[in-house]
Amino acid sequence: MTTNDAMTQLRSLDINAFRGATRPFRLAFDPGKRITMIFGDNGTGKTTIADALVCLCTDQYGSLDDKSGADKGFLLSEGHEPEELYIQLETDAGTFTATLAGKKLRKDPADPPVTLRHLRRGSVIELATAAPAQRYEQLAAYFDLSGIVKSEEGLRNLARSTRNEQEQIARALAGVEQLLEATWKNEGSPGAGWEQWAAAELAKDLGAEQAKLNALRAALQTWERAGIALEKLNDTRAQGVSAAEARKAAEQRLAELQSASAQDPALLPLLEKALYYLNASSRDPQNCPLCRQPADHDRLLAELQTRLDGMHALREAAAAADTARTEHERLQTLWQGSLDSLNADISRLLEAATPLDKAPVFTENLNILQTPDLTPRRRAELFGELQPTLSGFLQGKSLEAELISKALDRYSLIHQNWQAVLRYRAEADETATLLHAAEAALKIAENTRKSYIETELAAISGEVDALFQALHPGEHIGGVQLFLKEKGKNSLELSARFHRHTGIAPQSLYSESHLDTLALCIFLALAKRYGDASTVLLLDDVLGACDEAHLERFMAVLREQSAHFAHIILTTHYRPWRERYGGAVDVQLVELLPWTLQVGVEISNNGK
Amino acid sequence: MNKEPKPAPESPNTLLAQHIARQLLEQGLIGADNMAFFVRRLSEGQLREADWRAVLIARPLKGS
Repeated sequence: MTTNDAMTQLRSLDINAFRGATRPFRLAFDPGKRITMIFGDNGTGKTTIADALVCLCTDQYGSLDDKSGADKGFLLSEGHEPEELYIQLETDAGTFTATLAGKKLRKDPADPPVTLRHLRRGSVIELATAAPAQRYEQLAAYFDLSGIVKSEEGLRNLARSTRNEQEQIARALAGVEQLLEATWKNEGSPGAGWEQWAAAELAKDLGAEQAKLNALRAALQTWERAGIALEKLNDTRAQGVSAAEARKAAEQRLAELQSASAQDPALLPLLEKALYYLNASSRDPQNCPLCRQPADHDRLLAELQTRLDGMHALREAAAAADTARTEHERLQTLWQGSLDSLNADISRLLEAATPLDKAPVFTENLNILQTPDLTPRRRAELFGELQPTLSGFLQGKSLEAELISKALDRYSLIHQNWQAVLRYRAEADETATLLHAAEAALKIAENTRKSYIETELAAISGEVDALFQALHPGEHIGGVQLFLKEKGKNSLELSARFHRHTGIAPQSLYSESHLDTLALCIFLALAKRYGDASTVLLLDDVLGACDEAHLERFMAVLREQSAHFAHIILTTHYRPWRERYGGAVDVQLVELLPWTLQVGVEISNNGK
Repeated sequence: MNKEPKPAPESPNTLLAQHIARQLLEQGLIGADNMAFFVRRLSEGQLREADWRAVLIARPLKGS
């Protein structure tokens, strides 16, 4: 229970240039009274005061929220500048001020020192008679659980996706298990079962097999290279033989021409140069350029030309002989290179074949190739002779390599699939653990939320009913129950009793005044349950005309409930309230004078 | 002299988040580390699937 000392005390409310407050208005709260009744006929400024409190202490706009299309820019009083507007609430916990910034209110500090719960006439009927979804909307601020529901959805999604993940893993696991089992069966189902077989297979040391395969592959590779080198050598040799014959023929033809012309081919370039010299116009045409004796220039030119024509065939034969010689020498060099290359490949083959298992005949053949003092040429010839025999041997080795390779591939497949089995099993375990945790957490979250709401609504319902019974004793109405629909997360149902009818929607049988008081009781119960020492209630013209007995009971309820709130502010235009409570010791009566543009909102009795 | 400013009242989301977190902790489904942060995110609807996954995977083993 909150003590009076702990309650926030309201000291004063100042309003200027806000709506009807065209002049500075001040309401000084009586420190000894927890209920303030603001009385005024229509058009005296009650709503201006109520709106000022709502605008200051909440994010709402008071009565402007009730009016569809109302311009929130009209917070400023007629004829005033924006900087003149202020609303200020002074309490023992601090002063809270709002000023106008553009069309919005700027508040200082950001959080008000009081929590204002306000109920307006316009929302009273709605609270009791609205559809469940609208009712929830009105009360959402009190027990809104949207954050929890949203986080709960994240957890639900996790449970759903983990379940899917688990199914996918199970399918993948079954796939590789079936594959391994099929392989096991293909091999005659050895041992106790496929798992033991797979584990045993993987325990085998295949290092020796791999080494053997490597040796075989190395030998086969060198064998292939030596074969290619031999082929190249043979080609080169054949080309060399042809080139040698061509060279011989070309040289023979040259010798024949030389012999026939009895001329030295070395003269040819000299004669060509002489002809070139004599053809030049600047030369002396009368004398021989060599002996400087008079000479017949034209005859000299004719003689040179005749001799050169005779040497043309010789020149061509010399060029052909030169080309044939060059080609022959090139092929000799190439052949030597091929021979060296083949001998190197034979050496590598002999080395690579050393670790291989061999029949004696092959060992013997290979030994021949290793005979000391063999010339490279002879070795190459021997290799060519032994090639068909060695080929048979190495074909056998090729088959052996293929078999080992297949065995190793099979091992690799078993290994990969077994590793996949182990991985999927581990993932399945992790997923199962996560799913178990997610489902357990979801169950806790759902049940706790449901239980929380049921507990809260049961407590609120009990409080509402107690208040309602206090207002309507012996009237055979009440039994108020607030509850959420099982699947309607944002739908608040309301049921009550009317004489012998129980569990009815109150709007079906209750009178308007009963619905008014029911709404008021719901409001009070919620404000009390979720309020604290700083909660201020604003009841803005919530009750219309009622008989004296009900008025009396209503005030009794308010007086009793005022102990739970920092303050209750009540606005009314109902004159009997003023008459009855104007002089009450625990109620501060504030009577407003008729509003005018010049004076604005004004208190008639200075708050007394 | 003014009173100390009132602490902000706890919202139903926060109250319920505290209830839920306490039970999750009791069941060993979450760890005690960063509990305040967890409660705040739970109450504000900030716990998405990936967050829950991380929280539930990182939970301590029961009895350890």
